[in-house]
Amino acid sequence: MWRINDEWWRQPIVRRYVEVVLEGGGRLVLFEDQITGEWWMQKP
Amino acid sequence: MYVELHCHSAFSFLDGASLPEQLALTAANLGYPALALTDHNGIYGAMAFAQEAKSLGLQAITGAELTLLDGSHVTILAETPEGYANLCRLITEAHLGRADRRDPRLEFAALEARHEGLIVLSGCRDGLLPRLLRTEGRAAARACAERCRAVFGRENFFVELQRNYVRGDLALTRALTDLAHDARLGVVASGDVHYHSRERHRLHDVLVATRHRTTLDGAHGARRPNSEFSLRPLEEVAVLFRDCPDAVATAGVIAERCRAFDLTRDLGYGFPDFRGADRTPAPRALAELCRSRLEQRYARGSEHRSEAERRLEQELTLIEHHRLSGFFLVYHDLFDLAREVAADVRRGSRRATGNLLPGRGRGSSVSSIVCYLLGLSHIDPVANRLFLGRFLNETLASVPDIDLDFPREIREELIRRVYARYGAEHVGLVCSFPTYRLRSAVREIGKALDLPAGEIEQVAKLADSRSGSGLADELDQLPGFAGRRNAPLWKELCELAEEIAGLPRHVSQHVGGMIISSRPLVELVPLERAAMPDRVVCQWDKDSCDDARFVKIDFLALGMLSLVEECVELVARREGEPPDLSRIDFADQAVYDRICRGDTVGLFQIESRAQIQMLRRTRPRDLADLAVEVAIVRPGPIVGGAVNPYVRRREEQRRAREAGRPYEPPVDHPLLRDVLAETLGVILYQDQVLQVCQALAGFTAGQAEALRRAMSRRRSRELMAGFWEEFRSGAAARGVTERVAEKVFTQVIAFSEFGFPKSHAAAFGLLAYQSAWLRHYHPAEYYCALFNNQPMGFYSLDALGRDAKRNGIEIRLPDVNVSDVWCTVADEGKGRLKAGEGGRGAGVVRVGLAFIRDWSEETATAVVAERERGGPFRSVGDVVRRAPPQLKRPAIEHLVWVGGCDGFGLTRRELVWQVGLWLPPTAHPGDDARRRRQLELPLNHPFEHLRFGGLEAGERLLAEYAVLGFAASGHPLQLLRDALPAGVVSSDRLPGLQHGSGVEVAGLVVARQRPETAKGFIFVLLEDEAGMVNVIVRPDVYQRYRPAIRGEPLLWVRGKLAKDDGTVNLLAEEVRGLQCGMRSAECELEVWADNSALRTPHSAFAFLRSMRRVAPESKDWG
Repeated sequence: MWRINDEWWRQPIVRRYVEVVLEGGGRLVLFEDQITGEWWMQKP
Repeated sequence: MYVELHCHSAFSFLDGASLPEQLALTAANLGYPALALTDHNGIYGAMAFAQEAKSLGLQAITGAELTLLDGSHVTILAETPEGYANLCRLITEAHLGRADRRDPRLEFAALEARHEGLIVLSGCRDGLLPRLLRTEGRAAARACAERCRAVFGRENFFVELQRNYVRGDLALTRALTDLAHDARLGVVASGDVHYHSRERHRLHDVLVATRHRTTLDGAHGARRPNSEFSLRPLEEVAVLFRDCPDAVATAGVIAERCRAFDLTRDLGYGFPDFRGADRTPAPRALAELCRSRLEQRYARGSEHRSEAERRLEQELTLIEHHRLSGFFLVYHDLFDLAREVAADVRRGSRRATGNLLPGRGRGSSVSSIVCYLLGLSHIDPVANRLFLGRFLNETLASVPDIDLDFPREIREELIRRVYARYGAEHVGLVCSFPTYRLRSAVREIGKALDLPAGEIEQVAKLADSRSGSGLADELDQLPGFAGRRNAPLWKELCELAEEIAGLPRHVSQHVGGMIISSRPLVELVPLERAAMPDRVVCQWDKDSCDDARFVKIDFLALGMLSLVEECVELVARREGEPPDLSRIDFADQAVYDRICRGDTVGLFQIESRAQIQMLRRTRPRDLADLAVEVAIVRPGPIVGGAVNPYVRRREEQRRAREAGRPYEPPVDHPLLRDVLAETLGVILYQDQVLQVCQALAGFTAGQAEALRRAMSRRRSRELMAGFWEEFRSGAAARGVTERVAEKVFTQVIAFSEFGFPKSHAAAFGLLAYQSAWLRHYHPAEYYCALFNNQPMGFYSLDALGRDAKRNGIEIRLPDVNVSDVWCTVADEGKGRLKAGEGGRGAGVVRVGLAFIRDWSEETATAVVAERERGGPFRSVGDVVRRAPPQLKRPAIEHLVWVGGCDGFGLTRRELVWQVGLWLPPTAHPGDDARRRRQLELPLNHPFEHLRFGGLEAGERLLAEYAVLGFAASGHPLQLLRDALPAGVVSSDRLPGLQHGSGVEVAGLVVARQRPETAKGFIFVLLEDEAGMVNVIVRPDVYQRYRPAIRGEPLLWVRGKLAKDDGTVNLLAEEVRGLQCGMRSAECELEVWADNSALRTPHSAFAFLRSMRRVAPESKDWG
């Protein structure tokens, strides 16, 4: 897991990222926007 | 338990966002038992950190993060005193071993050779091992790890694991853990802390952007990705490293080992021995030396002999009691060295026989008879009744300060000789840490936030507050910026300016402090190169050196002493003999007459606007009065309410004397009569504060000393409140009422602001008189030396030049065939004046070539040398041909514009035209020299003889300002006077007007002052062609006209005249910049009927417009 806290002087980007391994072996990066509480999938 | 072992403070310049004190407090609040401070390549904040940590019950671990040659980092912690000494040496080597002082790096081999007593950690993401893993792979990293184990030992080298929620942290720490396992090394968890609380990550981002000289966006790749680099709660650390609890526990174990070294206790500093220490014990050597000197200074049977003997014995007893005999003897050695240096510097000059001292004491040490007899002071403390207790008493808590002033050249050479005598490893200059104030904060944060540069500059210039913490309120007050405090980016600017206030910006050199140590200084504190060449500073400032109980020697450079040296030399050249300033008439009333008139511009200590006002009221007539004068214009007496009573009583004393009556100054209580009689019943000197506490409240020397210390360090106000109780009860025991005690104590408290000891005031008063004497009798030499020793003092060159003119000295513009490098005295003029003389024709000063814009000292020297070699220049073409290549076309044009080639018989336009024929516009380096060589044959250019008109008066004045920064041929108001509205009067008319009259004046701003003691009042000194006007601006008027008052070089002021006791001031009601096309009905420059004046190049409008661009900067104080 890792975190980003950037652009606080403009439109703050505060996210918590996780990299997950899927059942089929694929990998995916998801992040939670810590301002809105929404979860997103990061496109490769 | 976890301990943070990798932590950066703001002393990792532009990479740490919190002060060491903030980090210590946060760690203590989070329950940490210890904290290591590991700033980049230095321990600048280590002593302040250790002191703060101690007061919080936190263990302070001293360390640093060093940069190796390949750019990788290692974290080093001092385990033992030997380890600390090695740490200091390694840091020194990283700094002194590099050509670029801004990029210190250490060879790994140096660390391998010197690691005893140190614990080494493998570093952050840029550390030794992670970098190898990244760039060369696992095998290389393992080899390095094994080498480290072999060199440092398994117990002294640890693999650092950091988890800050940065992408890749987990993989990296797992790889490092495997590496440690393979290499049989221990692992330790660390936080890579860069600020004390999460919110500070914003300031950290700004600092990184500043470091890379770009905006926050531009620094994207360099900034940390998140806000996870603060001190964490211990539970969070445990969770973060739950898969490797050993790493957390190891941090605690390492911290425990580092208890063996405590920076506040284990330094082991020693002051060097004096010469002859091997033959005679110090107390005896000092006593013998002083007694023999006493015989010379105080002849048997003389007036002060028995008091001098008594005083000497008193001081020798105190000195021996405190074991300071060796200290005084080392100072005596140093002053002997200073004498040698002075003799060498002055050798061959005429002033060598002038009996000039090598340097002069200042401060409280001047009250010591031991210092007087050793030559460290030049003021007789017995004859001048100077109080010893401020300098030396039974309960001295620290080594006394002996401050010495030297002329600049002597000081420079003296510092070099001290290095040579004691050894480069034993001497270091003290550093200082300029901190962020409002201007620097606004500029740097504003740039990082990418705010419009013009607006940032406006705020920086117009804002009043010194500290960044007042910015939001300031914005509300500034025209055009109201409401911005909540606007996007501006809000952040205000918040960050608050956070950055007080943080150190960079390392600088202290004005005069040096540390000398018997042990190599490099083992006590690291040394690094200063910005000045050949200078090495230690990494601690004055406060840290004090906390370390280093003996700090203060060798200060005083511009006035350099001026006196030069002036005496010039006088000796004219008269054949230098004047002996120790034997002049110190009661010359002609000199005092001028001082009492306030004719003191350019003199030492008594020239400021406030001093001139005071002189006209106090009217000093002897050296003792001058000492009062030096001391009275200071926050201490001002805030203590001493000034007006003193002035009133002075007048009463004068009237009493004239009437032949004795005068008894009133005192608040009879117990204070002895202490305050000489200052007419008020406290003017800092040592009187201690004497008052002793006399009125029965304070012991110890209490008085504690009070003195409280007055001089930070937070003195809170400490003072505690002293009130002691004072009140002591006074009551002596029959003093509480009302009187409170009144006196208020005056005492005022000296927690700044006041001078009498000894210091006496020393400075003497120099003030000597400067006045020199100026009175040798004005040409004095002004010449004054010009040559700028910058110094209260006034700009422009104002000084006009003062010279008022004193009959003509300032002549540079001339390529007459001028020297610096200013010289021309042979004309009367030379030495008799008492009462002065006025026109008193002398001529020729401005030197080095004063011309774009002329350096080297260039001017080369031109003068060429003139001496090949004869005078015959034409401007000849100048172009023979001048050194570094003299570029713009510099030659400047010489021409300011009249430097007028002797060739052409107008300046014609001369500039010719320069343009010989030299192209400066474009390609090397071109000039080549072209000049082509001009060896003096062939005529076809357009050489075109004719052009001369410069008008206004153009000449503008040229002087543009090229020299000052004008010698007049004052701008001379040329504008006829165009000003009829109501505007010149400054010489003001003394003849009634008190309370409404007046309008106009002038050039010479100085602006905003003293802290003035409760928001601003003082503006204006000058017109007739003299100066002191304008007082109330806070409400200032708010209304702030941009003009702060930003305009020429002002128009309407107000009421205030005349009082010889002083004339203008209380401003309206202030505007003097500009073209002003529409205000009250102030409109007269316009010719057809408005053609607006477009005429020589009109007042045109002149004023240009004048605003080239006007000299005023001197702004506060």
